[in-house]
Amino acid sequence: MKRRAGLLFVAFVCLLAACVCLSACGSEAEVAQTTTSATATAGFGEDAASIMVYAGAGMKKPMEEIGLAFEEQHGVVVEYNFTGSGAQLSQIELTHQGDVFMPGSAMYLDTAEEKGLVEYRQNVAYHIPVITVPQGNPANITCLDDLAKPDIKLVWGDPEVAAIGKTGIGIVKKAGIYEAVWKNVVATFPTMNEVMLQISLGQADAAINWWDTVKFDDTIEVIEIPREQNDIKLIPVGLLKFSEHPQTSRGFMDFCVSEQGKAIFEKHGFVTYPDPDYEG
Amino acid sequence: MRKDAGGAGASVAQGRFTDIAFKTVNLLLCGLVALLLLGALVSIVTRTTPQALWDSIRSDEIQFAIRLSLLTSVSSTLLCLIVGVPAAYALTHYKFRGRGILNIIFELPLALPPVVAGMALLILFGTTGFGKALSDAGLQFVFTKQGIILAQFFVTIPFMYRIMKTTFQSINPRYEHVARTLGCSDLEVFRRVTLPMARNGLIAGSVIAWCRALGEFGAAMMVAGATRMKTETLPVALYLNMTSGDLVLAVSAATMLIVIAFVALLVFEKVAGSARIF
Repeated sequence: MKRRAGLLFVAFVCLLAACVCLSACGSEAEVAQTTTSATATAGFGEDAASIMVYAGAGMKKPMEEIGLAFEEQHGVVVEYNFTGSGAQLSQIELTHQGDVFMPGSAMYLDTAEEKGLVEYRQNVAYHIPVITVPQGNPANITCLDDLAKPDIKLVWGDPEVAAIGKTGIGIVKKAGIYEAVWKNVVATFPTMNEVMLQISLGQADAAINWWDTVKFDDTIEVIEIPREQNDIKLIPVGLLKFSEHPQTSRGFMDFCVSEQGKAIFEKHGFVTYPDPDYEG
Repeated sequence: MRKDAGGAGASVAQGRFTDIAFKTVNLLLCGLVALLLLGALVSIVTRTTPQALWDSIRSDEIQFAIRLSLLTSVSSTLLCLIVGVPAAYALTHYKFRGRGILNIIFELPLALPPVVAGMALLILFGTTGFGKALSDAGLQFVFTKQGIILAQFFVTIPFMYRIMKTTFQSINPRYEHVARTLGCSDLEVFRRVTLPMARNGLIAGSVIAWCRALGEFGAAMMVAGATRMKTETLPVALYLNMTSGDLVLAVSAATMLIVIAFVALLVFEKVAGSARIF
């Protein structure tokens, strides 16, 4: 019995060692491959094997696809850091590392620019706030004013952490219903992802969220906010001052706003910049 | 003969040398790890001035978070004791079918990411008939402080269960048997023999469960939300303020967590230094 256990253990260790070896070889081969292709195309006059991009959690899907397309065409690996925009701003300030910053709202890039961290910027797409409700719209919400009705349960993005939280408060303040709406808020969350999940699970009657994040979700229904009541944000992208590969990073930013990049954003539910419907 | 004795002397000397090398390596690694842990903690506390730290610890937000954290973690630890001890007793003292499976179920949350636990609880207590019935009866868990306690309980019960299981297993059944032959009922045996002998395990289990509950973040946030001044525990305050760039408040929340954990472990070492955890 004891011997069998010992044998099993040895077999397990061998398996583990084999896995480690395989993965190590695999990654080595990968690195070698990308470096050769990088030198082969080297379109930006720099010897960059990879760049590091801070992107808001809401841009994960299109940005990953854009990263792969960019790697295919230029042989440069795009490494992402996807978290909340505010957290990324702290990381950038504390570490002075990374090449490109794409926050969920222009406000964060403005702050970074004021602190002298950003050199060059482009506008990528619009972030459009909408009212989201669970499938079937149980509380029968039809317009912004309905959020102020008594006995409605709302969830919200944290006003100081999530861009959508702050933007949403601005919208209801402009409509003059802030007090009544805030009374209906039963919980707040750090990112729009958790807000979306709570609506999707039917735990609350409504929330304000970004249109693109919920566009393809069957469990969530969307009520648009009229232009004059809404506060539409721009998703910008900025080159960080301490980037070690500024030419490659600029190339990547231009790729994001190229026809091909825009097509990927549109595929994932974003309205790209500029658009006559949302201008001004 | 002489040669042999000389050989033995040499090997003893060699043995001493390896002993010293062994000791040096152990102490060196021990020191390095201590330095890393301490360095990381001290760098948090010294990130701001003591005055700013003190002021923010006394701010309403952090005071609220301290009170809520203590209230919820103590409640969930008590719940863990009430449920975990009998469960561990049952699984170590009674023989029944499905004991092995039950054992795995009890330890399952140990390996689950807290966010998964939170989502599971949110679905069970939110949208199912069970959850609706509870909330109709006035027991509301979603987006409330009770939800924090529930999430902490869910995440910490495996620790309490595991520690109590090994504790009960390490008690020689002879003591319990003798007490029974002297006329004690099962309940009396438990109260007068098993429980006193499991004292160290009880303390260890409570402290570990309490520390885990105090730091619980993922599951509690899913169930109760991260609403400022409502369901904002110390880890939530830390996370929210770090994400909003309010570093001083974040640091003071972290400092309070470190201080509480340090005191708890100090008490733990003093009271139950020999208790076995696993």
